Amino acid sequence: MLLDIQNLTKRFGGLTAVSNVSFGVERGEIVGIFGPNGSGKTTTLSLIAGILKPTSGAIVWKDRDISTLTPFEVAQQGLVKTFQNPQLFPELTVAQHMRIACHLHVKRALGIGRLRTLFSGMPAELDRTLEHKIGQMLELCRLSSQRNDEAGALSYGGEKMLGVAMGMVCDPELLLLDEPASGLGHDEITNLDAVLRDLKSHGVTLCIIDHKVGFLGRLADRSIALHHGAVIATGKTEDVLANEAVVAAYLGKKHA
Amino acid sequence: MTQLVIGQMLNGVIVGSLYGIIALGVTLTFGLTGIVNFALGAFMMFGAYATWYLYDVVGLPYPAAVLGAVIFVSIVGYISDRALFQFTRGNLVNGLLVSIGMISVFEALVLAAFTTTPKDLTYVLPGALHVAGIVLPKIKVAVCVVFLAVIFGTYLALTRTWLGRAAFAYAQNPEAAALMGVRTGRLQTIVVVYSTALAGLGGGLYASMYSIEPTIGSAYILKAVEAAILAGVGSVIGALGGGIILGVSENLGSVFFPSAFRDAYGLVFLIAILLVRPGGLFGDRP
Repeated sequence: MLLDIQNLTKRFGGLTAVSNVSFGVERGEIVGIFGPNGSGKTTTLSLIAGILKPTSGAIVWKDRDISTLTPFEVAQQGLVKTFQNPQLFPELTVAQHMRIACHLHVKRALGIGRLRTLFSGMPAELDRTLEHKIGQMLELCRLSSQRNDEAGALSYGGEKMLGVAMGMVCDPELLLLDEPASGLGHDEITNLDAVLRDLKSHGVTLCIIDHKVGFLGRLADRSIALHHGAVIATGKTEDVLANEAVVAAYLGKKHA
Repeated sequence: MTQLVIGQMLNGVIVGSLYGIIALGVTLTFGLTGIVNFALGAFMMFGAYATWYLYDVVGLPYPAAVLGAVIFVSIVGYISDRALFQFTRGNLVNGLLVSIGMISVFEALVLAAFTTTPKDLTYVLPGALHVAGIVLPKIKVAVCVVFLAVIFGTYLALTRTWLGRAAFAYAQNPEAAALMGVRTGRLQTIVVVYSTALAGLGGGLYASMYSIEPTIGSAYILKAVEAAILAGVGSVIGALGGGIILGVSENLGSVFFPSAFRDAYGLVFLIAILLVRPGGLFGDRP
C-alpha cells in the first residue's frame, strides 16, 4: 500500500471535522474522495499534506508514519498537493511558473551550490534537463501553446491546469488534487479528464477530491464517500455512487 | 540659487540611498515574514558602533571594519531570529512589540558599553569633488555608490535569476511553496538575517559620514518605513526610489522652508502620494 490512512481524526475545539477515517491508496490507481460541502474532504487532504496536524490516527506513507512531518517534508517525500484555486503570479509566464516549481530538482542536483546560480546562472546541463521536463509536462497538460503567455492571460481552466502541471513537475508519486473541476465549464472538464487519464497512464497515482459526482464517477477507480467527517461508503466508484447512504447525503432522505 | 538646489538634491539622493537600504530590509522582511522589523534601526546603530570599534579602536582598515561589522550584525540578526523573530512569523503585532523591545535592549547595551558621548571616525576618505561649483565630499559619493550597487544587485538577483525569482514567489505564498517542497522557515531566516546585514552595512557607512550615538537608529528606521510605504511594500527598486524621493523632498523642503521641519516635508509628500496611489508608487512590483 502506497498510502494508508488509519483512524484519522481531526477536532477543531468542539467540532469534529474528520472522524475516524481510514482508507488506502495503491500505486497507480485513481482514488476519488467526495462528499457534500463541509464533509471533511479538504481537511482530510490538508492532514495528508501536513498543513494540519491530526488529533489522532496515523498517515502511513510507504510504511512510515508521516503525520508529524511539516508540509515541505511531506512534499519532499513525493506527496504533492495542488490548490483548489491555483496560486499564480500574473506577471510571470507559464514557463517561469514551471521553473519556480522545479525547486526540488534544483535542490537535489546542486544542493547548497544553488546559491552560485545567483551569480553564474543555471548550469547548462541542468537547464536542459529542466527545460525538457517542463516541456513534457506542458505537453501533457495541454499548455505547450501558452508556454510564453503570462499567467494573468490564462483562462480559469488554464490556471487550474497550470496548477496541476506545477504539481506534476515536482515528480510526485502521489498527486493530491483539491477540487480540480470546481468552477470549470463542460469543455474544460472534458480536457481535465483527458489530462488526468494521461497522468495515470504515466504511472502517477492520483487522489482527487471533488463534489462533482459525474466527473469523479468517470475517472476514479475507487471512491470514498464522506459525510459529516466520517466515511459512509467505500469501494468501486459505481457502487459507492449507488449506495443509499451516499444518495441520501447528497439529495436528502426523501429522494433516496 | 540653482547651485544650492542642485547641491541639496544630490545630498538628498545620498541620504535617500541610506533610507533606501534600510527600507529594502523592511520591505523584504515584511514580504517574507509578515512583520515590520522596527529593530532594523538598532541593527544599523550596532553596525555603526561595530565599524567604529573595529576601525578606530582595533585599527583595521575601513573596508575590513565595515565587513567585520556586517558579519557581526548578521550574527546578532541570526540569534535574534532564532531566539525571538521565528515565533512572531505572520503576527504583525507580536513582531512589532518584539522589535520595539529589542531597540531598548540594544540601545541600553551600547549605552552601557560606550556611554552617550558621540563617536567620530577619523577621516576615512578626505577631500571633496567640485563639479560645476557644487562641493560633494568624496566619502558621501562613495557611500552612495555602494548603496546603489547593493540595492541594484539585490534587485537583479531577485528578478533575473532563477533562485531569486523563486524566492520572491515563495515569499508571496509560503503555503504553496511548502507544498512544492520548499523549506520556507529557512528562507524566512535568510531574509531576516539579510535585512539585518543590510542595516549593518548602512550603519557602517553612516559612521564614515556623521558622528554616532546610541539613538541614531530610531530616526532612520522611521524614514525607512516611510520610504517603504511610499514605494509600495514589497518593491525592491521602490525601496530605493522611495528613500531617494524622501531624502530629496526633505532636503529641497529645507531650502525653501524652515529646516527645523524637514521631517515634515517628506511626510507631506508621503500623504500626497498615498492619496493618489494608495498602494504606493511602485505597488506590488518587484
